Amino acid sequence: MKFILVIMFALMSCGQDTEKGIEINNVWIREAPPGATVAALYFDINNNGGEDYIISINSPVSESAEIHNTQISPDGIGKMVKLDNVLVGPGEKLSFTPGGKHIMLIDLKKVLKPGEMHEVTVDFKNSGQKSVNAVVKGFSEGGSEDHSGHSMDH
Amino acid sequence: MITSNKVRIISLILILFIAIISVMAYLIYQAKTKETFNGFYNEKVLDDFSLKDSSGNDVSLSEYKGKLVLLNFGYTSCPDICPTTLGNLRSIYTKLDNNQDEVQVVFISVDPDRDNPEKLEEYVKFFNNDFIGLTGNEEQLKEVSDIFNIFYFKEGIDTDKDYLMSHPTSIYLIDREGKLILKYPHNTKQDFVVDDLKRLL
Repeated sequence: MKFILVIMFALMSCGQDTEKGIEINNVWIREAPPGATVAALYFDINNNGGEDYIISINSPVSESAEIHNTQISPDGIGKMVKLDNVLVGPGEKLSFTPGGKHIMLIDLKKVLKPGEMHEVTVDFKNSGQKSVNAVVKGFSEGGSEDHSGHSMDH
Repeated sequence: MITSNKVRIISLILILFIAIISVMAYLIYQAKTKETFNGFYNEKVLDDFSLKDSSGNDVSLSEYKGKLVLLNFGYTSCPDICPTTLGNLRSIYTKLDNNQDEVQVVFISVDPDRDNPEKLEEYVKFFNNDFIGLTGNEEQLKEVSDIFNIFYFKEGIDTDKDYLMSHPTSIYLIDREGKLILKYPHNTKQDFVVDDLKRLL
């Protein structure tokens, strides 16, 4: 009996997990300086479900969007690496932040002003499309400094 | 006889003691001047170079002698690194209050094909009206790269108009004599840079 209960609970919690699925939070686009044709989009992903992959992103604000990862070599040279997809493992929390993974919005169709909200659709391999609202942040409101606890080693 | 020997020994010990203290004090002083900076100490005498500003005028590094220069490299189509760095520099500069006129922020575009002077001007001034954007032809930029011992290049294929670039991500701090002294890795805490600047001002 006990054994069956345990299995039932396990199954129930499994079901809950898949229902909860993937959450996308803190979605923001950094204000693009005048003349800039690109902007970066950042967010946090919380995967309460099974293994999944981000396969594409799109937004009405830009012609196209690519998943990029900023990589900086030990001698300080930075480059963008284009990613075809990003694995989001079961239970994984993943942050897209300045200096790390981000979405590059290419060929902006309009000027992005701080405070505006824009729809962004994230396409997952298993969970399908999820639409969220991204807020545009200016440089004076957290759009500049990385608050992820970056520190320098001597 | 005994007392004079004693005096000699005591004097010798004293002299030795003073010498040791002096050496220690000197070492501590040196260590302090070099290592208590938050940035990476990277002393290098820089040859002068000249690039074009947004009005098409030639600007030499030596023109900023007497000021501390915060220099960084990038391009205006840069999605993540350059806006982060310039946004940080904007905040750093704001925190300097009354000392702003003693510091010059310079952004060097390594993408002269797309960053014409007007575009560069508009981009840089968006962050702060006092910031200066410079660029040059391939030859001039090559010279600057050699001076700073850096490199940059276009990513992908040449025909792609939306190409990305690899470029240095550090902020370079140049002292009032035009000598490179400190380097800050990408996204160094703003206050680390502000503290160093305040020590140098």
